[in-house]
Amino acid sequence: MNVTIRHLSHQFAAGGQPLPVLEAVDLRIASGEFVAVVGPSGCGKSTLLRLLAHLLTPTDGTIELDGADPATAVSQKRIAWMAQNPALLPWYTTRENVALVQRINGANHHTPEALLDMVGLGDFADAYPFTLSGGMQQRLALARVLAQQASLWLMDEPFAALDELTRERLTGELLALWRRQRPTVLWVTHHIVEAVRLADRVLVLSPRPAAVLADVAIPLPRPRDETTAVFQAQVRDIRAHIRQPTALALPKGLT
Amino acid sequence: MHPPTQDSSAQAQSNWLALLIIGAALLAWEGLVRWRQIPVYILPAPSRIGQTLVENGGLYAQATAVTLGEALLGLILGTVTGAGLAVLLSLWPRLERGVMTLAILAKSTPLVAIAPLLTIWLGFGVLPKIIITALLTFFPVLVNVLAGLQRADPAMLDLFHTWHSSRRQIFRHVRAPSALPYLFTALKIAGPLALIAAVVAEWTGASGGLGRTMWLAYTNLNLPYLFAAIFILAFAGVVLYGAIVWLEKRAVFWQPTSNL
Repeated sequence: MNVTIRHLSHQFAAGGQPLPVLEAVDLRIASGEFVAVVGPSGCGKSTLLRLLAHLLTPTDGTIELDGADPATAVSQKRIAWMAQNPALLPWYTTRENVALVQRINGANHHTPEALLDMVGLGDFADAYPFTLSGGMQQRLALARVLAQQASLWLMDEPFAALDELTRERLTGELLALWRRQRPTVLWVTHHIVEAVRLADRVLVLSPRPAAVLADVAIPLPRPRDETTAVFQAQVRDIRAHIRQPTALALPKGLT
Repeated sequence: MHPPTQDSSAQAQSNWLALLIIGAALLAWEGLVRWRQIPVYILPAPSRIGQTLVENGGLYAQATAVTLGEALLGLILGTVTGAGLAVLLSLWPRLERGVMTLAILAKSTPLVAIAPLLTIWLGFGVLPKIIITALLTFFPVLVNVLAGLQRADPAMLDLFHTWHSSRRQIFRHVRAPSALPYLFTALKIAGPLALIAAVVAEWTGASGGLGRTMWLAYTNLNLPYLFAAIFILAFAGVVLYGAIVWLEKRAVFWQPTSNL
């Protein structure tokens, strides 16, 4: 799905005072691209994703998803959403959780069992989510994303609460699924190494109100090796972009 | 299903402890009455109450059936009304202020004021008792279920919005199951309340039931009769509460629940 964002601004009303969160964001993402979004916490990364998912309506600017607005894209069921809170339905088994998405979406190219197999939960079809580990719960959330057959995946730090090892395994598996299905992915993270490992492009947002500070292409071949000098140079490059505005924002006399 | 496992031996132990405490209290009561030679019209001994229960088993069984029937039917009517209103208010929030004002009015009108009226209008049968019980029990159900419906996990609601699901789907798969634990919290309040409501309603005039038995015993100062009815009511309350907890564990299996 092609994503075109023009002059996108958003502000919340915080106790009567308007609180600008996004300021004039312009952005183009090509179909099938994997784009990571990094930036200081609270800068508006999640707001950007929520605007794309039509969970919020922007105060200014336009979003085009293959030429349509987010409301239309959502109604055509072309957007998948995954967040740090997997929001599994605890009253349904893993199979029922997946089957429900398919029933609501009208997409059933795969059986729920096949989708659970794809994320390594084949043996847990009859288990309830509260009996699964944190990593397995995110796998189930991923199976639901796959069940949707969407062309834009909006992922808001889905693995942030997991331990390092589980996280690396899951991001690896996610990459394999992305290469197979080629959706457009917007991946919010505060983990720069992860962003460089996963993405074709890394967008660096400024502190609130967020604007795009830098748009860094990652031309490294896949699979990527974190120990190489080029990889580490990319990470350093993005770190430098993030540090810059913070230094500027410091009061006089401080360095 | 995988209900959270509980230490069943600890559970059995605490049950035995409760029985032991009740047994000791009854024994102390018996001893006190015999030692101080308290007359039976002031405080009958537990043995005397037990004797009354056994000798009038048929009478008490019938009265218990009447009162329990009224309490349960009233509780069901109150629960259905309360939950139904909660669903209505969650679908049309604009009705909330009006309906809640009426509900608070119905709830805060004293039971002793309505009960005689309903008896005058509807007679000495079971119907006014059922209505009074429903009036007393619908409010906790309404308030709790409404809170449960409104407090569904925002992350789940976000997800369902990105799926472009209908209000009906959100209600069925998110809001209704989210409200289920709240319904049981309400029932734990409303269950014992239903027994009280049925008994008090019977005091204002009834052709049968434990409340009527108690009233007759009271006017004749027949304390063993009165205490026998109280014992049955206390036991019925414990059983009803236990039944609600038992149901809750099975219905809300995804949440660890206490035994209280």
